[in-house]
Amino acid sequence: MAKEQISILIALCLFFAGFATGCWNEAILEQVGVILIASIDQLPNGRIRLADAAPVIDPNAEDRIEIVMTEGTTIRECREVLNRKTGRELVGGKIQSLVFGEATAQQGIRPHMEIFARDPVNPLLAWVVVAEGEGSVLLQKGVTMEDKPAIGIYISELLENNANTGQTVRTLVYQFETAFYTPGIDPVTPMIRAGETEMVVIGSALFDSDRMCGRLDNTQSLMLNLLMGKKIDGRLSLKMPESLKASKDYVTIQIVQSKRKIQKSLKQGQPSFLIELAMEVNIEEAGTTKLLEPEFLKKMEQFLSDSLTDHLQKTIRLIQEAGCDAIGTGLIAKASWFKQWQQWDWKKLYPKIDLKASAKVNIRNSGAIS
Amino acid sequence: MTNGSRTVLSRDLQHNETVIDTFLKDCPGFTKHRIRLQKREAVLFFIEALINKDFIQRDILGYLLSQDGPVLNDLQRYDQIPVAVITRLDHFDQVSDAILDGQAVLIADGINRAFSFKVSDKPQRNIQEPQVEKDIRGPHNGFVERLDTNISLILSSFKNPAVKMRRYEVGLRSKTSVAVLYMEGLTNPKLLDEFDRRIKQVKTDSVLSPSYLEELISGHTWTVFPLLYSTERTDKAIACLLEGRLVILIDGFPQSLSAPSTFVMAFQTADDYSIRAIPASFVRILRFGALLISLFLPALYVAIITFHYETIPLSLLVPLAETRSKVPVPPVVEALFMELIFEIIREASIRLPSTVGQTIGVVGGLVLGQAAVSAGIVSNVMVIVVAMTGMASFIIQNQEVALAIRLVRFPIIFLAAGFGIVGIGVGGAILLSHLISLDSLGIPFMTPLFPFSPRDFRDALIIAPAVLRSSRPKMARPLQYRRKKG
Amino acid sequence: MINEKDFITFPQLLSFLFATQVGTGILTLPRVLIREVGTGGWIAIIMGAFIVGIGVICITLLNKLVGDSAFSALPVLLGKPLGWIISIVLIIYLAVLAAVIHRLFVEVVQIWFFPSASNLILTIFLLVPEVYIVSKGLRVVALYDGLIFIVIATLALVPLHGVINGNTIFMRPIIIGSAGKLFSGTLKVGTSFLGFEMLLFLYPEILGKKRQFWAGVGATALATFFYVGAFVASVTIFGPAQPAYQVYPLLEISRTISLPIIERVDLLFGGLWIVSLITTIDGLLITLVKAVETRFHWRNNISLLVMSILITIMSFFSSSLAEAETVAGIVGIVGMVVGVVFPALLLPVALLRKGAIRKWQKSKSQS
Repeated sequence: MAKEQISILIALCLFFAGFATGCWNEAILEQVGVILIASIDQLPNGRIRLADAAPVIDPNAEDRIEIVMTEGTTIRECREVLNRKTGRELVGGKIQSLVFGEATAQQGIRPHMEIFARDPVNPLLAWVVVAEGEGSVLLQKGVTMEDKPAIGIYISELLENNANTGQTVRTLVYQFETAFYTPGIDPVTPMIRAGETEMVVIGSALFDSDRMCGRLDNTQSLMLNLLMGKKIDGRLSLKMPESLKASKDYVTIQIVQSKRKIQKSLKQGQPSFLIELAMEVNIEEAGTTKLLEPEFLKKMEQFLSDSLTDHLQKTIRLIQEAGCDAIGTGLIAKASWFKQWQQWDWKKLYPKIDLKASAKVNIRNSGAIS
Repeated sequence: MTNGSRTVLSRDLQHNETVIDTFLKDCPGFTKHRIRLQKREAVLFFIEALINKDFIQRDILGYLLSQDGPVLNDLQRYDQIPVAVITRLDHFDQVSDAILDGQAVLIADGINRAFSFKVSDKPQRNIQEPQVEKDIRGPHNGFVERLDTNISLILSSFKNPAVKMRRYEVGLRSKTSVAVLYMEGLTNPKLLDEFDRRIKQVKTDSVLSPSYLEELISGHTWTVFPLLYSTERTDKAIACLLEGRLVILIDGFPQSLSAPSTFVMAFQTADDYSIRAIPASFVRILRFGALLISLFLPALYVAIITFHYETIPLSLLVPLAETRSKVPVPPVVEALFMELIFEIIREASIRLPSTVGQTIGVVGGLVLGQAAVSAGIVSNVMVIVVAMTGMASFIIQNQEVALAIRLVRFPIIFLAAGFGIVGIGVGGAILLSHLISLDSLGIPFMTPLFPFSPRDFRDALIIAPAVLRSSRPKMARPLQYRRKKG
Repeated sequence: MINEKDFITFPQLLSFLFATQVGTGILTLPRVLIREVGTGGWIAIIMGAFIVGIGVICITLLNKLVGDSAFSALPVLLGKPLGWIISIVLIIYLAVLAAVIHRLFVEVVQIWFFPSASNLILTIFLLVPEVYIVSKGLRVVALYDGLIFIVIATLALVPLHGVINGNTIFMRPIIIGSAGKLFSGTLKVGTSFLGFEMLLFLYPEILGKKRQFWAGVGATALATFFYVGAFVASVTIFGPAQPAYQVYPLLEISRTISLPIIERVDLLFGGLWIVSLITTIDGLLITLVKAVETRFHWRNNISLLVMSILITIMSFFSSSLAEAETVAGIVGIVGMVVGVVFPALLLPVALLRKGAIRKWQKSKSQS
């Protein structure tokens, strides 16, 4: 009995010793400023402009978002200055997206992302986005868009929907980091423009390591998604040739499924890849009523295959010229031909390798009319 | 009456009378009825308030007075007195115990023996369903205060010669009768021996309540959890016997104790067996969920608001922050304040007479809660949290366990306030290891979870259909596992 | 009947060993292996498991020959002076190991939850549940360690997530660096398997002594399974290069999981992991207390108090995580020696000294 008492007493004493010194790392919900979206711009003088958008907690007023921005040498220093301005401590545990200005992206964004990796509070599931123009301008415009949701939520919803339909790529912080660190694959990020009354997802930004080196529009982003083998629910409109036209010039297809097979081979010591896509599509709008005729259908499928192959090739050329190995052909090369890989300088080699794509389309259905 | 006279009665009636007088002289209702039969004398001692006059008048006095004189001195003829229970006593303390127990004691001149007749008629209430253990289906019988009646309640529903009893006297002053019922051939004799060993070590003046006895024999002084569960329901007691458990009855209290008891038993109610297994399992799981809610929900609230805002879904973030911003105190103070108010309301509604109690509960809860929110002292989420926690703790039928859980909740709130979810984890670890270390009469308290005994899972977290429950649970280590089929 | 405070059965022994093994090792293992070996690090894990398996065989054989825990028989096997010296060395090893692991535990909590918390407060606070559980005896410790299975079952979702959502191409090609690197990687893996050598100290407490071999093997096999899973998941999600920079790759993986309502799985994870870390340290502590009891005959609670104070003080000898990890590496190698080399060397000694052992066993049963 005495044993138990003594050990309980010891436990209690040690226990309450812990409470003797106040608390730490408290982040009481209503007292902190929860940043929903942050933007980083590198200024010509080497300093950084940080803009944070956090909702204002005011029970008597309408919901509104406050944007604060400042300049400094590192992001954390900027944060300190902002804390002094807003009177609440800004915390990043709920950041939905990280926005970089285009110019900043071209200079390299890895140094700015360091705190995201170092501080476990920051979510690795935040989006990495490039803004056309300056990031802070994007945020400011976003706050003024009256009939749109709060900017942090708005942008992340926009990105989510567009990534699902393939109009842009899905890149979260940890995916960007992985692509950056791993030799043989380069990151790509979504790209947004701020219009007058709404934000538009204009496509993707291509990166070579951590520097932006090119961009793709929405259709090209769709192609890239297909090349990367991502599951998307995308739509595409293609101009039909005379032989297939009826009442409309364009046919709109919905890509239901796309299976990717990569044929790799070494030709004269150089890697060569052929990306074969077997796609199932639905025809949504065609302006013709001949879709139940087998021959017409075959011609349509052939046209779609050729047209898509053409689009895919164009996209490949763009990314190769930019020097962005978004598809990860380097990874495949490394896995298949490791000895040679160690001799190659992949950055130099990549734009020259033989990279081809081909699509084979199968029309699954065409709706309730023929 | 511990003057402890193990003195033997003398043959002199005068002397005997004088000695008894010194013990019982001013006791309320103490009566000495003199009988004279053909020059032989005897005195019948009894306490008027405790006996049934009919029995004395008709069966004892009536009979004796119709006999001749030698009946008083002939020890053999005492067997013919028409009273069901006659006991022969030799010592004065036996005599006074018997008189105080409501028996009539006859001492004749010339014999150094006394005879006690069981003619007691103590007041008792009717058999009714226990207030706090109501069930919807199943019998509505509950134990009463008299030990004999309780024994008869069990035997009358359960006619089995294997039901045996051992009697103990506990309490040096109160000399309370404690009876242990068990089933021969089923109950593990080691259980019985363990109980026997423990109860003989008890040194106390009186048994104030069954929980008092439970504390004395449990072996763990400082735990908040009861290690022997009490029940007032006869059907539960019988079920215990059938599982090879001991049922302990204490004279003067309608609560029976069952040994051994385990933690999961607090979540079993008699209703579970009157309905089918799958719906009953759902309810059982609900109860365990309620246990977790009532233990951890307030602490989780405090931890999340104070440290871990990142876990709150985005859509809730701003509304929650806004309602919290009106509150002038930190989350932990808010939580403790509301919890304490709730406990006060709960205690108050128990003490009030039943007509008013219900209203106070509703009024107190609603009005206080609403007013507190409007005044800005607490946030409305806090009211929801406290209400849910309270409701969850009502689900636990065993009141002592429910109280223990309510108590344990508070240190965990403190830990959450100091160390967030790490504190809750540490608190949970300490609580769990404490529970694991408890034992009920030698059986581990957390069976069948720790030690892991999958066989007993049929009636722990879920309930298996009756067909699969045909053998007894292992936890009481019965001698026979198969239930008798024929 | 059931009340013996210190006896444990086979399933309890299995939980005990497994829980003691799985601690901070699994959190940092992917990083260590990627740096040391490369994508072929999982081979090092399996090799390490084999070596540990050899250790288990040696220990259980030794225990059987001696008829008691090898630790208690040290004076008999090696002669009084050497036996006592080695006993003290082993006790110091256990205490240092407990202190190092506790220090790493505090580091995890600091980095992941409370960067500005005071070291001392956290050290003492986290020591409280460990000391409490150990004060209840070996049985309670082993039963509580049963929780590890629930924790691991939940955390098994992590490798699953890695395989489903990750890119298996990151695992190829399987790079090992050099044979030397593989060997040093295997040694470092050894640290993560420490816990099996507790069998050296526990013998009379185990009911069903024939099964201690299977408990040791089973625990190591389970641990191997999870370590490999964690390693593979780290690489398939973060690529072959990034885990080298992550302090706790396993926790980083949890940061990439998104569930419908629970937004930050990593906090949940961390909370669960605290249970696992508590089980590791309490396994070491109870063994330490038992060892002290065997050799010095101190009462358990007094040695517990002394040990916890010692551990608190020792935790402050290394002032940074880097230093603590270096010490952990050294202790890990010592542990492998204690668990594998040492019993292997003692086996022939035990065979030679059969007579002395028999005498000692007789004198024990008489006293």
